[in-house]
Amino acid sequence: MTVQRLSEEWFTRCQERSLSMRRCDKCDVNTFVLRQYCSLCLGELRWCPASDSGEIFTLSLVGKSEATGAGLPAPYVVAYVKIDGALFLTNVRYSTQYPHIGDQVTLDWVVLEDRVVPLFVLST
Amino acid sequence: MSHDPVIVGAYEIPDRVIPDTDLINVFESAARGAILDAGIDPKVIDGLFLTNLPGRLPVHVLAEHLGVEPRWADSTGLGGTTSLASIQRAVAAIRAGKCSVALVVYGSLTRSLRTPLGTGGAPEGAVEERDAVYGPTVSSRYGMFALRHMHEFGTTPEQLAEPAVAARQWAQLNETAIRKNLLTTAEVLGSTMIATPLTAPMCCVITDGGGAVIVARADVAGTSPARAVQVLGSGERTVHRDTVSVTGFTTSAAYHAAKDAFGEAGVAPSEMNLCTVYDSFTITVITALEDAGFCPKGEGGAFVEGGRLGPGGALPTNPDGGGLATNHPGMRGIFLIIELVRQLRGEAGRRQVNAAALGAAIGIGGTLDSRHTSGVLVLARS
Repeated sequence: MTVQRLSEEWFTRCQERSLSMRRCDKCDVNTFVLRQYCSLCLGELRWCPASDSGEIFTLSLVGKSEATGAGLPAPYVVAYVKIDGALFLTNVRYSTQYPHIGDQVTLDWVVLEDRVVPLFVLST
Repeated sequence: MSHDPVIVGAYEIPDRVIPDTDLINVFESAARGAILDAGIDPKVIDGLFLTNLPGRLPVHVLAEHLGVEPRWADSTGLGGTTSLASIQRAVAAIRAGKCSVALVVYGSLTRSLRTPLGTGGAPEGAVEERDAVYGPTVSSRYGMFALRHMHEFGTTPEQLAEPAVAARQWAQLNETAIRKNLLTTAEVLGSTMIATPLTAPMCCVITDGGGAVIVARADVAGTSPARAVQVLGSGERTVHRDTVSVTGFTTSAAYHAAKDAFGEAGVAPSEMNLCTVYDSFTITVITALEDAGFCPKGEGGAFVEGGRLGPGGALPTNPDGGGLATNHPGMRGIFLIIELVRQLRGEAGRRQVNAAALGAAIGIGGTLDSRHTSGVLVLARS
């Protein structure tokens, strides 16, 4: 039984512009929690490509922050996007139309200093 | 009967900014205050329950500074609800005969040290490096939770403002409160937006501070039986959000913790004369009250309307002004206990709630949108 370095693997997969999640085929469960084993059956989870679109589950427009979003200064939108049944914490980038719960969003990538990071934009 | 643990001492440092000091000295002051309040010999303390971020202040250092050699030393990090969880641990330890006099203590210099909190980014070395890149501030996490609550249950912005309006009313009666100007609902809604839908008055203050509580066998020497406060019940639960979560996104851990606490106490939420509820944000109060069973799930918004939580309301809540108006050094669970003890002893001065015999403290630590712990205590006047 090897201990995996899932966080590092996540970032490597992102460099290749692949949005991945963890999946248990036996329990038919997907999760973005970077865990090794299925919390239901303790079986090994596998990496699985996630859909490149999802639905906004909830969001918040950060008006005041000492932090920034992924390449986004305040105000920026932090959101949970529901993808293949799992919630993914991310940013939703928008220009004119403000996003709402239930809106469909599409995967996009932003290149930061040393990283390629997935985020979402409103689907057209 | 004499083995049954009771709360015999409580103390809150009145200062909201404590510049130019060391964290350990804040803990010393909080502990000394509670020991003097209890009237006990410090040497009888044989249980030490520390609230802090793990590694920030080793429990051994605190024991050394207090000059105690505890039989039970505990350093628990469950966020803002830690002190309530510590009471549960202290009560269990005393009942098991593993200690007799337990000191539960908390201190923080969050404001003076400018520790990232409500609007800051993730602290260095955060577990979830992946999440940090998106800038999920604590206030935006609660904002996301609040918006989902509004979406599912029809909770309105006006209802979200209510706990802030009540907190300012209570603050009039507490000279150590720091946000004392009264606000109307419209003024709360028109204030600076921190993270939608939460405006500045809906978010707690950030202060320094500290406090301590002593739980002991009822027969410990020096204490006043008339001032002792009974611990009728306690409960705790840690939950997280995932595809396998059972109760759903908008239900907090308070649902489980309160069931255990009220079940053990053998009383119902409707019997409470007052409450202290973790008010990191106004949505925390609304959610904690409905999950603890004060109203049906989803009706927390309507429940807090009409001044119910304020002075003279049907359920006086956070009479000290809470985190929204008085103090929030990062993890304010200890102050939920201290204010409830003051009220049940009848020692709350101008803000004393009439006929305060039975009350609940409902804590939430961590973030409601994801991983968090709730601790609930039901306390009673002797």
